[in-house]
Amino acid sequence: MSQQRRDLPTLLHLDGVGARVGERTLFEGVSLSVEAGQAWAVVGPNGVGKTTLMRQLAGVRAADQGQVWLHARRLSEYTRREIAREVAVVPQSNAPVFAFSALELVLMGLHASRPRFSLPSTGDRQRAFNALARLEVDHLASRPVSSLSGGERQRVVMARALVAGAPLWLLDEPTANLDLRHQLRLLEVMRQHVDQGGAAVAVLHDLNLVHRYFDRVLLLAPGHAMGWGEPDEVLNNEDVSEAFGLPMRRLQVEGRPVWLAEAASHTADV
Amino acid sequence: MMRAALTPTKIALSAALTLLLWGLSAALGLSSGSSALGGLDLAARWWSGELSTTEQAILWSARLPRVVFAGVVGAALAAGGAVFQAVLRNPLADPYILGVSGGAALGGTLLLTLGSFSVGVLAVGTPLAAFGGALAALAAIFAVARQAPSGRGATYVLLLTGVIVNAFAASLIMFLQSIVSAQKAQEILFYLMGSLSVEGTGWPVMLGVSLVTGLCLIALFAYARDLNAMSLGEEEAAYLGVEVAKVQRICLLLASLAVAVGVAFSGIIGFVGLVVPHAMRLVVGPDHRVLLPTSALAGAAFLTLADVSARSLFGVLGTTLPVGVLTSMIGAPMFLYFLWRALRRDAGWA
Repeated sequence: MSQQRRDLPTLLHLDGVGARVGERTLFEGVSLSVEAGQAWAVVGPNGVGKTTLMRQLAGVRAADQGQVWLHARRLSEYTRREIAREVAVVPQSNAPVFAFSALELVLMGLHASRPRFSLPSTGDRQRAFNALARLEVDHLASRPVSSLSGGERQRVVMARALVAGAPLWLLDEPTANLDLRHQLRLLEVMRQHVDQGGAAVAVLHDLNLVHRYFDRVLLLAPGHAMGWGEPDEVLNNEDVSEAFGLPMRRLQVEGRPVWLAEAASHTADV
Repeated sequence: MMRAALTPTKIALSAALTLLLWGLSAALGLSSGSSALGGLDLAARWWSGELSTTEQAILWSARLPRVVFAGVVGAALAAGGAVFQAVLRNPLADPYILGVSGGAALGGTLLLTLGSFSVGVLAVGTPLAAFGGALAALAAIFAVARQAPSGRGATYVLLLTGVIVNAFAASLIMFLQSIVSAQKAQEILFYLMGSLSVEGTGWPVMLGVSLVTGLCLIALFAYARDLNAMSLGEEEAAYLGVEVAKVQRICLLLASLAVAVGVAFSGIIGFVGLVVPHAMRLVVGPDHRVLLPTSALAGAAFLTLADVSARSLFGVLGTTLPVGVLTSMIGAPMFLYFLWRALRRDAGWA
């Protein structure tokens, strides 16, 4: 209870965290620290609990096992407003019901850092506009978000995280609806944030991008966490193949790791 | 469509314009009625103090309470509708469609029929009973909505549940109607159709209703920014720093209370909470910091005008038309249109 974590560069600390759905264990015993200057990737096949973990880290779902610490306090002891100042979340996108413009949606990222009866200042609007520009969606600023495509919406929500000014970013499949160019653009924006002393945890499906943009990786397999640590070690042929239930091989192409999936997965299913 | 930045000036200007709209509607309401007294002539003679005792009585005890009441109920229904729509993420939500008004009417009717109370007890008891009925309806709606699948399906589950809650409340009210005296049954029927005939109600009650509604609306205004975030979904609002469960509880309670104290004396007036916020969103945009105050004022104007129209039909039809009949005639086709548009547009309700 009185145990306090003093090592300050650690933003988020997971202490034996586990998740269950009914009787089924998704994962258990995940203990790791997300430090300032680190980008963590969470990888694994569908249904292993990646989004569940992200929700636990954002504090909207309690850890079924273990504890999540934010700075020196348990995450569960924070108010939503306090968490929102430390953690910006980019959830898997859904279309807003009402016709808020992209700029208005980005300005909502300031919700936790502005008083209740305040209106966005000119400076706030400029910041929001700049954030949209960094993700190359500034031309959509006055368009209703409900009329945007999935990929455009994703980038607008990412701009909202940018404006929030929180040190830790939680990104749930941020690249899902994006073309390759915008995937790279978004991850570069994330990388800049991390290199300036922030931190990020992102769910990703493309292992090649993990090697290129992330410092650490957590590999989840059905029912358990395979491992976590540096991508070069954690993402080895055996563990990745086992986690995804698919023979996979890592090659070096022009000095970069590239993953190849064998086409023979259906033979394993028979 | 380019929308101007939300500034204090924009909020004040929009509110002033809708306030003016209400003022004009109220003036129209004060100067029209079944007696010939009306128009500029009335204003001039009131100003110079030439009104007879009878004319003063008509103005102060018949027309003014009715105009005030129409404004208060209209404001509560319209702002309540906007709040329900944001909290439930459903642009088709409305106190009437959700069954909240029906529940409130049932609560009120129960008190009216089951006992014979003094006027004083009724004045306080009816809104309390109506509030109880509204909360019961809300609880039923939420119990079902919680089980609904997330996404588009939830919208229809919510609307369907409202229909059923309404049907149930109506059946109970009809049951009560069938076991009471013919005269009381007539009163209940009028109550169900929604009417602003409050001529017999005392000023203390009118002021009480206005005060409670006004306080609820002001308190709701304090949550306008949270409602913006809530309309993105519960989880996204939580990420942005909103204490979702708390805000949801407070806003639904306040909106239901505002609606219930009105419904307790007016009966069911449908679709005001659907039509007015939709119209205002087109004019001022979806931000609740400007949408809530303008919807409340425009709702007051809308119901006042609807009541004036319903009363002017007196001359044509030779009977007093309950205002709820008129608002439903306008609102129900609009609901169908919004539903049709929502179904057609796969990409969102817009």
